[in-house]
Amino acid sequence: MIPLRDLLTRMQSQATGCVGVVLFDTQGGAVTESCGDDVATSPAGVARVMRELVSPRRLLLPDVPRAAAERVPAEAILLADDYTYVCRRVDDPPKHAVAAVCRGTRSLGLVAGLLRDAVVPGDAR
Amino acid sequence: MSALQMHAVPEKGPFERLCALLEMVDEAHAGESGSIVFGGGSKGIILVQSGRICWAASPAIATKLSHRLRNVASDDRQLATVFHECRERGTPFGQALVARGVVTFDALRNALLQHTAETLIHLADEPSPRWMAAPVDQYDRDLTFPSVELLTHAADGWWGPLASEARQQLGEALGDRGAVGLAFLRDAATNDAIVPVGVGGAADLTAKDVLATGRAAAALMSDAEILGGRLITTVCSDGRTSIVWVDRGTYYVAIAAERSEMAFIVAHVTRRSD
Repeated sequence: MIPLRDLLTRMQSQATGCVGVVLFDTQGGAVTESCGDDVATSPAGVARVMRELVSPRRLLLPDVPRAAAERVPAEAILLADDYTYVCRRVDDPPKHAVAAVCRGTRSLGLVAGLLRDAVVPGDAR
Repeated sequence: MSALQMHAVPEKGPFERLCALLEMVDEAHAGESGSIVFGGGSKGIILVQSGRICWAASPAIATKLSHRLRNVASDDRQLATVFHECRERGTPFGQALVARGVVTFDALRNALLQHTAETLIHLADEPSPRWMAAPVDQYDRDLTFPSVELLTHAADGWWGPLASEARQQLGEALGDRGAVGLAFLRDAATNDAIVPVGVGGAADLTAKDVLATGRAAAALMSDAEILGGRLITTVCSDGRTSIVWVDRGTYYVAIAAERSEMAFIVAHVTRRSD
């Protein structure tokens, strides 16, 4: 994926309301790197919560056989009172995910799209 | 005919005992036909056709189905005649009543649903149910009930107005999209149990599926509490999407095959809470 600082700059240049980004280990939940407003984003708290959301969950999917219903989410979005958290698993570094913390919900689709573009394996930008 | 001893329903509140009974039916006898016998048959029986419950009876239930139908039948005497004939022949009387115009199909189904749900609540208290596999195929499928319909109908008896409001909110959130939706109340009086009160969209879900989804949703929201989370979406790599949100103490779940469904629901929930 692209460097974290570049990701934050890209988010902010598109007026997404993004205030910080956090790269964390999906196994242990430790913060690998973060940048932006640390007070607002509380990287450790973000990593702890978002790690759970991109873990395997048994939320049934109707057209999936019962035995295969457990899936690992590739992306998770959390809407809270003050911030929106958009998180995506990455392959590089392995077993990691990146979360963007934004004010408001208006640019939710844009943030998710930028995150998706930023973590495409082999991204040369 | 084979018999299989099943586990006794553990000690819980009445609604939780009903959940446990229906989950047991779903788990042990999905798609099967036969009967669940209580007290060797003296305490009651549940008849199952292809995994759907078609009849439940208990001598302890004072209101018989015939009493319920008397309130909606066009002719009391004809009702009694059809009952008598069907009992002698050993045939299901529901279809005969509708065929002869004694009751409408909807009135029959509603009466049957109410009767079955009430009987199941009573039977859920009985210990040591036994499963007896047997061919059962004479019932009109539309007059048999999936476990989840019986569960949500029973929940209406306890939490009627709240359940109704939750269903309305779920319907508005789903709109005419293709998503499957579920609504749950939390019952603080019975161990904070998760109570399914609404199922929307075309899905062949069992009570066991719905209860498992509700518990997973509650766990998910609990994880998000530290950040003040009120809505969570998760998207798998193939686009399958789950949305879980909380509104005024009611939990909602929407499950969609494509992520495009998500935007509509998120926008609706966000507008509602702004």
